[in-house]
Amino acid sequence: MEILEFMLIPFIACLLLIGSNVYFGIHVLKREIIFIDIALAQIAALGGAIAMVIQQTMEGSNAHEHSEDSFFSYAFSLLFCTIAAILFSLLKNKKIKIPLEALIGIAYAVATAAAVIILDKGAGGDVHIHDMLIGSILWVGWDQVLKLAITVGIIGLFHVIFRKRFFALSDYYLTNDIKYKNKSLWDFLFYFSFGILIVQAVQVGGILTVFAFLIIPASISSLLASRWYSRILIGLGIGGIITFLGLYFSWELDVPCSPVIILFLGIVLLISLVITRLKRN
Amino acid sequence: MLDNLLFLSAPIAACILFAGILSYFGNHILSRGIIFIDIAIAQIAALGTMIGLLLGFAEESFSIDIASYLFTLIVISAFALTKFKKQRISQEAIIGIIYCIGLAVALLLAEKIPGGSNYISKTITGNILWVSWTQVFYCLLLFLGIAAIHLYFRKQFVKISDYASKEELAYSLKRLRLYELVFYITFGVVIVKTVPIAGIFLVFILLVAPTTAISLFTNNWKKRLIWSWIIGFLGSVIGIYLSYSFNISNGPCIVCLLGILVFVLAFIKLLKKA
Amino acid sequence: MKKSTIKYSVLVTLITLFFINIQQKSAFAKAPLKIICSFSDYATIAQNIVQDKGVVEFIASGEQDPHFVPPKPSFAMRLKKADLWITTGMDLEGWSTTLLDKARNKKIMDGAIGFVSVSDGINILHKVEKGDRTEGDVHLMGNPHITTGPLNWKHIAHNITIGLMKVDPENADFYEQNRDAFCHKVDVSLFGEELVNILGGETLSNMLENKTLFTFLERDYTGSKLSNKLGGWLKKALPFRDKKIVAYHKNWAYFSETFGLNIIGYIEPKPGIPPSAKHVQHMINLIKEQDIKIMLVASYFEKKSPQMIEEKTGIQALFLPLFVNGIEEVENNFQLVDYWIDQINKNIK
Repeated sequence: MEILEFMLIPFIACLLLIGSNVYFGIHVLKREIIFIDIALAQIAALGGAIAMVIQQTMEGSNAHEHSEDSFFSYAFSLLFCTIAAILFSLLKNKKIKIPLEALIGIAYAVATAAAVIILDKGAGGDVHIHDMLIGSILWVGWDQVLKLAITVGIIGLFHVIFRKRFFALSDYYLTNDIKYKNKSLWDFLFYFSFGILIVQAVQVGGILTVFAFLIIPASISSLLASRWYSRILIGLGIGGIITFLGLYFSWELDVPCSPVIILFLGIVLLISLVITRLKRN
Repeated sequence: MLDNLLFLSAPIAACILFAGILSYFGNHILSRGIIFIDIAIAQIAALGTMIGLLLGFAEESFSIDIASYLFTLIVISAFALTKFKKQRISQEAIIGIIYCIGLAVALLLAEKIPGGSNYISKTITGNILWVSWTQVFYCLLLFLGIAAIHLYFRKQFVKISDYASKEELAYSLKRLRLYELVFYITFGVVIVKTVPIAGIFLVFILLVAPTTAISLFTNNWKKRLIWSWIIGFLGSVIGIYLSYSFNISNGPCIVCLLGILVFVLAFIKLLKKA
Repeated sequence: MKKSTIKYSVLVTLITLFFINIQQKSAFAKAPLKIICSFSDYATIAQNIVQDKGVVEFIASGEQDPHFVPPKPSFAMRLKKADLWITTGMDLEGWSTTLLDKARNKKIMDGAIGFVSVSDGINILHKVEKGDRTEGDVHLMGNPHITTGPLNWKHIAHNITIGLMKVDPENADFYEQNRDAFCHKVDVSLFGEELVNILGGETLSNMLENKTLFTFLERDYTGSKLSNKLGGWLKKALPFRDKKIVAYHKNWAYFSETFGLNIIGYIEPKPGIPPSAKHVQHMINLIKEQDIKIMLVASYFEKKSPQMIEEKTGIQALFLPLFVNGIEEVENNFQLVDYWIDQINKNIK
């Protein structure tokens, strides 16, 4: 019974993460900006690092306050996400003939490098260097899950209301065919809302987990269906089952749970690939 | 002052070399739109090293290097064979998945190996400042060999990269995959060789930034090759100088310099009247 | 059945139950304490003190980077049942806060009687002065790698004993005895039996910390210098006392303080942040000018960078495990220090 109580919160957290990320994953695959979430997460982390340095310089050496959780650092992370969103939506333009992914990649590298330099020169703690790769899904508490649920709820509502517009934006992203007013504005809103979700999700699951949840269930669903709604459902369903198995096995084998879940997702992807190939023949 | 900087001679030579080979590959990578391939390869190589360690080889031994190369080549060959006429899943997505799973496996294995946390992608640091002339020499030989191969196949490789964004295939599927195999294997070898020396982010930026900078303004392959080399080299040398003058960590300095340059150029292009 | 048989069997059953009850009661009364430590070094010290009255485990394995320990489900479960949690008490074990939160074991939270911070009372090196952030030390509360200095082990043992006495006051005398025996063993290992008998471990330790020991040993005692009576590690370490070396990271501060190694520079003072060109040049010049032969590297670092430095400067990288169980032959603190001193002596020529 202990294991159930232990696993309940992580399970709910995973469902929230998978649900939201499947949806965004389909967008991301269509737009071919695969590594956007790693970039956004790193840019947000840069904002947090800058906030921490500012706080420490103002307050002196009050190092014991874990200022990553403060509202100030959250605000800065959002600020940087906004800047990134503006950048990416502006740079998707007819005049710029290089894939946006290249700019996203460079932004990611610069954000990482800048964070290193700032922490080197400005701060005392090495908190962010070995940062949130795996995250701590197993250790997440009700308050974090609640925050995540609220975020997913708000962003989800926003995207449900304007779904037609967002679907169309991504469906025609590469060909640039779309005749929409304020395309850049909606692009910005897409990246901005995505950024908010990522910041919250990475707190719970870590960068690697969120990345995997973004890409793999959406890829699996792309092999098995083509309509938006079917793909979301398939992703959610498979994700849910895999999470359950993954949590169970990580408990049994006593290993961190995110890598196990990711491995299982990979296996399911492989199986789906094989099935699709066979069906074609 | 001058002989104080003599210790920089080997690193600068390495920068010329690395900027050259990486900017060349970068042009292809940009055209094919598989930007993050080198980060994925670096992680796979690290995973190969971990597997070698698990199999019992000593960390400094030659067998570890072989394990790393072998594993990388296997994975990358499998990747080359995933090129289809109609991609249900784009190649960049496949790279993302490979990276993801590679990292997950590395994390699971990390605690079974002493110092295992060193092989997880973020912490793959390196510092080109410590490079020795012997290493530069070996790299030169290796890159000359690879350059010879690419010289021989240059028409084919350029054609494939140009066609990457189109729906049709440049050659028959079988022939295409063969060329891809040669391309990716040589690319993999370069990455596995350069990342331990220069660190993963420096390699990444030298691969992507110079070519992005020039490709904003032209499509001509000759121009792109020459200019990306120049930008890459200048960027690294200036970066080293700045790192010296301002006492900033070296790799991150170069990364920021080249990266910010690209964004500035992108905005210039944006604001230019067509 | 005959009435007498029934009476007889009932009696036997009752007597058996009575004895079983007594057995169980004694078993319950003496359930061993569950002690969890962050590092293996604390575990070996704790084992010396608690002996068979407790079961000691540790979380970070000897060859892991102490700053970065990926969490496993079993850690939280073990912590849930623990009576005592032994940790450094500075900011080294950042990874332990989430573990403690999840374990939700009130006995071992910060401030409870089951929380032992072993660094209390230790003379911490490299504390950052107020307002001085130019060096940007990673650990603001000072250097937390306290396990490398044998003098600190006595403080660690002292703090662990206090914790044990709070949780299990019945056996307080037992723990104090073991602690004293352990401290005596440390003294003898450091100074040699003779000197300890003449001057007493306490005095010697204080002099070592105040750096007045070696001047004191120049004095005469019954015909010959006291320094002739020096034994133990300090004697073994004499060949490299005051020798200059560099280190990869600041793991070795307390060791070098105690044994007189002069660490004049660090290659990578901040983990994960590659040094700048200026720093690299500084180090290369330093190594050449001062003719430095050795670079101490904790074995959890990857070998490629130190090897590159070896090639570039001709220095030799000496990989040493930072903790007990870091390599197979080292199973306790004493063997660890033996190993360090032997290795340094071998390579310092």
